[in-house]
Amino acid sequence: MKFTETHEWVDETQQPAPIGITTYAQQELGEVVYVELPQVGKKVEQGQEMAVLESTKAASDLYSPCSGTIVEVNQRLKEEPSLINSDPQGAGWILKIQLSDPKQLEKLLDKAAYEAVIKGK
Amino acid sequence: MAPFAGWEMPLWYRSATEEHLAVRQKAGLFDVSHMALFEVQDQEKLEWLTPSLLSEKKVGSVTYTFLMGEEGGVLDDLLIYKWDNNRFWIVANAANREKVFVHLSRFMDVKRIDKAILALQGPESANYLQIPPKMTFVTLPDGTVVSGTGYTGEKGVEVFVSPEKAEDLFKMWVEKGIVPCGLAARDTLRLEKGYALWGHELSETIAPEESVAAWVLKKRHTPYLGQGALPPSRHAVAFQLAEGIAREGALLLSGEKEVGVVTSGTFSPSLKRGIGLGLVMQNPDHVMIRGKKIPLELVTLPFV
Repeated sequence: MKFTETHEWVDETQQPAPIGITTYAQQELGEVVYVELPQVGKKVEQGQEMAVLESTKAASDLYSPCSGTIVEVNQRLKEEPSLINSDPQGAGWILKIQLSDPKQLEKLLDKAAYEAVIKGK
Repeated sequence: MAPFAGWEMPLWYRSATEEHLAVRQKAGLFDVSHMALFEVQDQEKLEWLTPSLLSEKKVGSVTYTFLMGEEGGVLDDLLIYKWDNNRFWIVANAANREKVFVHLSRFMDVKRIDKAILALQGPESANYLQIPPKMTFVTLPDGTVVSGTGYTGEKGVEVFVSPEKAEDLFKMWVEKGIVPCGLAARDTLRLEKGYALWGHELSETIAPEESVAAWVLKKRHTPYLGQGALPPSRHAVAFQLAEGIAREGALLLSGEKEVGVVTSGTFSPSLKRGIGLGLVMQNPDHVMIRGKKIPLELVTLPFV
C-alpha cells in the first residue's frame, strides 16, 4: 500500500488498484455522511480531484494518487458512507483505478514515510 | 472538542448521526450551559427592546423573541422567562453574551445568573421527568427550573440547575440510556425544523422581516427599538437537493442570475439528503456547489 501527502492510499498490489483515504484522514474529517462519486470510465491525472467526501463538519476532495481510468466505484458508500470511518483502508475503499503509468507509484510515500508526515502535524 | 465562544464543546460524543436520530426517535441530552443567562426587572424597557408584547404574556410563560438594535437588525435571539411582571430571565447565545449584557445595561439593571442548562429532548423525554406544556416553565421543590422548550422540534425540556448539581444529573440521565449529544446534532436537528441560528439566519444586517423567524413579529400598537429601520428587500427560503450538500455561503441562482446565498446548509440525517436555508431577492432554482450548478427544490418548513 502506498500513500500521498493529501492522505489517500492506493493498494498497488491489486489491479485495478483500490483507492481510499487513510485512518488519519477520516479522523480529521469526522463522520462522513455523503460521498459524491465520479462516473465509471472517467480518465484522471495524478493529483486531480476525483470525488468529494462530505462529513458533518466539511467537504473534502479525494485526489488521485496516480493517473489512470476509474473502472469501479464503491456502490456501498451510497447507502453507508460511514464505512469510510469504520474501515477506511478496507471496506471503505472509494474507487478503483486502472493505472496508466505505474511508475508514478515510486514517488508515493511508503507506510513509514506517511507515518512521519502525520507525526509532523 | 471544538472551541465555541470561549467554551470547549463536543461536536459529537460518538456519532453526530446516531445522536441526531436518538433525539428524533428516543431521547438525547445536550449540555447547553454555555448559553448566557441574565435577570432583569423592568418589563416596560425590556418590551421596548423586543418586538414581543411581554406585558401581555402570562407569568410562567417563555417567549422566543429578538433583541433589537437601533439600526433595525437583530442583536441576538432570546428566550424570555416571565417570573412576574417585574422579574424576567433572559437566555442569550454564548457568542453574544457580552454584547447582550452591554445593550440591556444601557436601559436597565442586569444581573448575571450562574446556572448549568441541560436540554433533554426527544419523544421519550417524558419517561424521565414531567414535561411542562410547551413554552411554559415550572420550579421544582429543589429549585430546579424545568422549561418546556428546546431547539430540536421534539418533545422535551431545558432544565436550569446549579452548576454543582449538573454533572450528577447529566451522568444519571446518561446511565439511564439517554444519548449524550454534541453541537453537530444540535445544528442538524434545528435545521431540519427550520429554526434560525443567530449569525446565519439572523444578524445585525438582516431585517427581522426577511428572516425565517419573521413570525416573531406580530402587530403591536406600541413601537419598539429599531422598528422598520432596516427596510426588508429579501426573503428566506428553504430548499432540498437530490445530490450534494450546499454549505453556508453557497450562491443561490435563478437561471444564470445570483439571487442570494445559503445561510445554513447540511446533510439531513432524517431525510438523507442535503437541506438548507437561504436569504434571497427572488426564488432560486439552483445552487452553486464547488463550481457546479445543482438544481434545488424549494420546500415549506419544517423539512421534517
